Amino acid sequence: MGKSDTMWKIKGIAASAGIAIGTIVHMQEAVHDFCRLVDASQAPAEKERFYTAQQAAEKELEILQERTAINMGEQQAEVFAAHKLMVTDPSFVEVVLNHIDNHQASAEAAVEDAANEIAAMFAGLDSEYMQERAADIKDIGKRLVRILQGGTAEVNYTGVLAAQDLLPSDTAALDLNYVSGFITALGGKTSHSSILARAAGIPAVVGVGSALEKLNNGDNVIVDGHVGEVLVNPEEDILNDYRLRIKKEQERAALLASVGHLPSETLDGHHIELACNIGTPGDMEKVIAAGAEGVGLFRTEFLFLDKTSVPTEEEQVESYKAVLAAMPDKKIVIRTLDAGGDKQLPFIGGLPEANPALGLRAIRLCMVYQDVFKTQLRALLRASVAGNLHIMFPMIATVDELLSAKALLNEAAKELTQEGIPYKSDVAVGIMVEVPAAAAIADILAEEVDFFSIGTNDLVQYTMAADRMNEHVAYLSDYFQPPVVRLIGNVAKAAQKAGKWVGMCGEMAGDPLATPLLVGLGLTELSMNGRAVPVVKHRIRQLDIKQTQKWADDILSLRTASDIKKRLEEIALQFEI
Amino acid sequence: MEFNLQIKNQAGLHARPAAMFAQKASSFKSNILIFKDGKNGNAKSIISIMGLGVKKGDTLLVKIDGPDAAEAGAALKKLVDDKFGEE
Repeated sequence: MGKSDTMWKIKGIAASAGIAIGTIVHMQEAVHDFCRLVDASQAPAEKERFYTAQQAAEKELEILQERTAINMGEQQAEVFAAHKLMVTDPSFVEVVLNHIDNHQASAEAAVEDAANEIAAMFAGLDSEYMQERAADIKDIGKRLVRILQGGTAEVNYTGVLAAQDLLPSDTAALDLNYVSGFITALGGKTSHSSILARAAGIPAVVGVGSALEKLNNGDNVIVDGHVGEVLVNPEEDILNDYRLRIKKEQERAALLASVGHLPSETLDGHHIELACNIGTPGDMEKVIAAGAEGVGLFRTEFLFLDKTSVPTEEEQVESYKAVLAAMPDKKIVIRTLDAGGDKQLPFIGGLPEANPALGLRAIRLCMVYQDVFKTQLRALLRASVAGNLHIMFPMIATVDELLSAKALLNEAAKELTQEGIPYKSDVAVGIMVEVPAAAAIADILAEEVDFFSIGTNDLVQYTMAADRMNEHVAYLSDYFQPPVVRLIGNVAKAAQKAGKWVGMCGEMAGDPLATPLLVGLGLTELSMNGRAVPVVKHRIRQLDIKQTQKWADDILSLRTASDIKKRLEEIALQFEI
Repeated sequence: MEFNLQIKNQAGLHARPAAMFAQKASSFKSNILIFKDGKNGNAKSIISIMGLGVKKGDTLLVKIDGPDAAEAGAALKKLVDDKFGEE
């Protein structure tokens, strides 16, 4: 047991959320004591031993791959497919055989040295990805040595597992039913063990360093995977707090899972559309899995950034169609190119700007490079036949900008008509409200659009005149600042008056604390990260529109961001989650 | 035979593309070597491919020697041109 029974803490990296309470069990590092040098005449026998172990390793990996695919999903299982390739990799085998032939190495020593040499080569290439591959090849070395020594793969531990690092083979060979948490000395958020822990839903704190050695087998610990903290020898009242939190988390998880595909409707039957923000067509799977009703923001930049030439019209049509066709009857809002500023396009170049955020970007850039813009508009119109397309222009600040963008869209439509290419003639057109100028003239702009979507990240930055990356002015970068909340209110009011819908696609839309306020202000669509959908949906299902309107009126009169946050926290207390 | 290949897919010859390249190369009898910046590697080895650290935009020299060199060359070219099926 520990030196004393007083509680102490270990800080680490929060690698997998959740709380585990249990007793420490240290992973047994297998100590392989093998003979390194053998007589030269043994070389053929050692090679034979290596080949046999190689086959056994392949078989083990095959089983691991299957088992992991079933327990944790195909993606997690891919690690073992890669390991299988490496075990038989000609370069690896060549190095192993060379050690046996030329250095009188035993099969064990040859495998270990070969793995270390290759790992060193990978580790020398500077990318996190390659560092992981170094861990992979070492893992393969360990596996082969263990097999050569006649060891078995299965290991069982019960409790909170403490280890230097958990290699993929370690975590997959474990019977996870008995492991309640992980603590490792090494590793980061993206290391294999962290990814696997998250996939298995096991709380994990990694990167605790030498503190690991101060833990003894049998120590009582609380692993807090939310904040990356381990409490050792916790006192009874603290244990009880955490037991309560675990119970609440379980209830919360069960509840959110049950919200799944229920309608996003207030108690009095008002429908608030919940959509997702996406960056590539590949994200559509997550949108559907999240129980969202469409896409509120598809950023098209992925098609343009890191490209040496403009993506072709065909290429774009294909990507847009892929997204539309994934949810053909749902609203899909595609934002036209939002580049420039900090997102430079290599094929356009341009001069460095003193104030990129205030410079030639988004719609401003598109109106200078009209050929690039028109190609995108043509591609969007052509894709429109595949679903329910909404086109959204970013960074609109004046009516003129909106009118010229719309004129170009009309031109693109005319061309398609002349060329006999089909498109939908009634595609909805809207703007992203992210410049305070647009919020100020929302009533005028509302006459020219079908919808508004408020982008809070830029709206906050421009309204508060505070760079969101600058920590010295971070106190201003807050969407609960009264000026921001009032602008949102103005935009919603103007849209409602003109009979147009207004949504939000900024970070604020996925914050459940803000949900009652946004609904109260009159927003009818919220677009967010897939993970936020169940929580926000559950909150909406507990709201009454009349009540939210009263709250919103009240909040609009508050004087500071902290007053607004405090009020919303009070309101949140009455919700189940 | 010898030819140059420009890698156009986003991820370069990392992970999945490296594995696909090695597996494709392994399906031929010919010896296949790849060269980049004075380093070379066995195209049938995922380890040796990844060791070259090939990124998007890099050009590789491919040397193929053996009975099915032409087919191997065509297959590898196609894989790279199709960007390994990436978006």
